[in-house]
Amino acid sequence: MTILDDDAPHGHETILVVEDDELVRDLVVEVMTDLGYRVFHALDGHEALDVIQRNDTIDLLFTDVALPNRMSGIDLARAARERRPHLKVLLTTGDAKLAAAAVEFPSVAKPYRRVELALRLRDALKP
Amino acid sequence: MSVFLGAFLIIAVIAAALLGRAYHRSDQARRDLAARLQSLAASEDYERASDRDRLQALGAALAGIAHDLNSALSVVVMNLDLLQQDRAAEGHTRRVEAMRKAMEKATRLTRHLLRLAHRQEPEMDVVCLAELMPSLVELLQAALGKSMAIETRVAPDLWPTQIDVAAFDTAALHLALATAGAMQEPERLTIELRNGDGGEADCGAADGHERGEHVLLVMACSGASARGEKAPREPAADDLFGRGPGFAAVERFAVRCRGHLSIAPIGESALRAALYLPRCRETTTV
Repeated sequence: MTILDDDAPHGHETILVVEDDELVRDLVVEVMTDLGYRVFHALDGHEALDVIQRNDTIDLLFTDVALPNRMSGIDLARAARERRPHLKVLLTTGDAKLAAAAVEFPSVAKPYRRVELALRLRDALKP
Repeated sequence: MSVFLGAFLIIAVIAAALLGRAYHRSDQARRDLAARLQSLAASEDYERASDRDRLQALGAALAGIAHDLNSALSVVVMNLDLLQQDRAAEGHTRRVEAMRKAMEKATRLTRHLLRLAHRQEPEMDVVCLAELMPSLVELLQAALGKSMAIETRVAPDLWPTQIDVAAFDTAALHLALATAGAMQEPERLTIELRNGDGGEADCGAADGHERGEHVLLVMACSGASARGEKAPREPAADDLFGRGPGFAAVERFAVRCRGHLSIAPIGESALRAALYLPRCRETTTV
């Protein structure tokens, strides 16, 4: 069954996007904002942990697995969960093998369409 | 008497000295030979280690490139989605669709790159090879170049078979490159997928392998002339990026899947390689 882009579900939660590729990050922030979410963003894991520390309203961490500055997206997700046990996580990667190392977190493989991203966000945000 | 005894003693001493020197020399010779053999083994180990290092580096590079390609593809794919929603782009639907199809092809090729880059633990799945053919042909065309015409024939009722799907791309790539590489001027590669009952016509029984129902992946390459009467099965299995015979890698894949490989010339201007994979009576899982 083909899912049309018009079927992309919206949301209102707060998401932190962590992505070092500027083109990808800006587009993902734009798409999520367009879907109704409130969006923060960070370049790497260290900046992301600062944002999480200063904002206890973040509902979901959306992070690339491959990040610079010696902290992977998986390391970030685990550190963030220690600080915020109820934080939801959705990993993304251009190499599915990298995400397979963290079975406790769901992931979405690049490249993804807008509607797929929207659906995976809703899945990850389920209580 | 004492003269003879003295002479005997002198001869005995000289003989002992000569024997001792000979022993010393032979012992030294043994040590020299051992050292030379060690050095030779070390250089072979070094070459093998260098080949392994080279392959590991290539694998890491492929995985990195594929990862970055996927990030770039994400940007294009999502922008296409946004364009389709943009009323101002309504007149460009055909172009947007053409771009989307090209992106889907690029995504498939990137997945092939990742499969080639990663050494994975074998996972056997029941598949119908016909489902894998379209993306396989894309991969082979990219590897063999546009000058090679590729023709496919797929039987409509192809049986399922159990294979390591992740390794299948690599094996098929080896098979195509090795088959084409055996020709001086390869022109056309024909890929056939069909069922076989192990009869003589399929060559399976002639090679001494077990008869039985098989799925055959047959690659036949024709060209100006063949290199020799029969392509040698050289163990150059790691030469993934060359066009020399790499049938050994295909044989290893075949054995893992409990099948076998058969290679035969067709006249003087073509070569046929057939990969026999046992029929599986379970339902496909992929």
